[in-house]
Amino acid sequence: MNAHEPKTMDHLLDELTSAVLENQRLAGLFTSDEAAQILPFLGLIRHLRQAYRPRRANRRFAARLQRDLMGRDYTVMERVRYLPPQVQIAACLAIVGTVLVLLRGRSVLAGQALGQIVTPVEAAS
Amino acid sequence: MIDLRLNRREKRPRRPPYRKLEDLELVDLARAGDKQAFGELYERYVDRIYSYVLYRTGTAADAEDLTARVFFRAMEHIAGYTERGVPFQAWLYRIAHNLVANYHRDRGRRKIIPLDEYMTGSAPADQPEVLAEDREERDALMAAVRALPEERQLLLTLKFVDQLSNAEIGEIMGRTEGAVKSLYHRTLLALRDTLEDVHPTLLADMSREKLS
Repeated sequence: MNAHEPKTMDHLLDELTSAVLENQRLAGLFTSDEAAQILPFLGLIRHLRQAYRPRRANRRFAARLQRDLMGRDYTVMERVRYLPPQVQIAACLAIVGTVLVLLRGRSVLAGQALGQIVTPVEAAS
Repeated sequence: MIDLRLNRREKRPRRPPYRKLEDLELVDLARAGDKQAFGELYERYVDRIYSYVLYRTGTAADAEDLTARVFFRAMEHIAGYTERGVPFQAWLYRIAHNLVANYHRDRGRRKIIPLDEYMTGSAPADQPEVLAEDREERDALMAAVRALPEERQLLLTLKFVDQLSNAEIGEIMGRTEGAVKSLYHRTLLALRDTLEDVHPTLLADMSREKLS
């Protein structure tokens, strides 16, 4: 573009946005005529920059997805680790509950078995 | 025996580390079934695609789901990908854009994006009124953004979140650089008009900013 040719508004707004995104000093970048045209948009562009921030994917999610894409097998520990937290809690509760029930069942059975033990003397009488 | 080993080592083609390869070289390797090459492409773009999808859907769970679908679809179709003026990055964004469009169409809704997704902690914790004001302004601005047509929202995301050049945005959107600049200008005008209607005080605050 010729230096003396007036810049279009499309071009000015593009330059202003690039300067804002790159944290450049804006004073001196534009002529006074150009500044008068773009000034009404400056606040909006700065607010958009504040509102839109690059976000990173959760590392755990990214690693799990990469593993899925690559088709690698999971170890048992990884399978458990990558379950949703609610499922992990539910699984833990189920395991603990099952163990408790089994222990209780064993002790009841053991108690019954003790009650059924017949000594040789009792048997003879 | 030793000679044979040396010969074999010499014959093996030496490939530079994946990190040093260009996208196109990685794509060629991935098309030939090299999963490590696809893995490198994934590492390069996963955060960008996630970020883009997050701003278009509003929740991390949906963004993760759609990001996964983007990469699975890319892997599935990479054998049929030929550059033809559309670089890999643009191709990936187009997949993401289509999936996000389907997501909105299937659910028949525009998600209300949670404010917390946008908070950057700019206000000190002991100034709750500043925080609340910031939130309100950001909420008003994003409501105005959501009222824009999909294509303009895409443009804003690519420009502000991914900070792509006009040429790169043009490749993704299938437009020339000039058309991208023009669309951006019209987008800013539309945003100003919307804010003037729904939040004139915010627009007045914005208009007080100075070049510095």
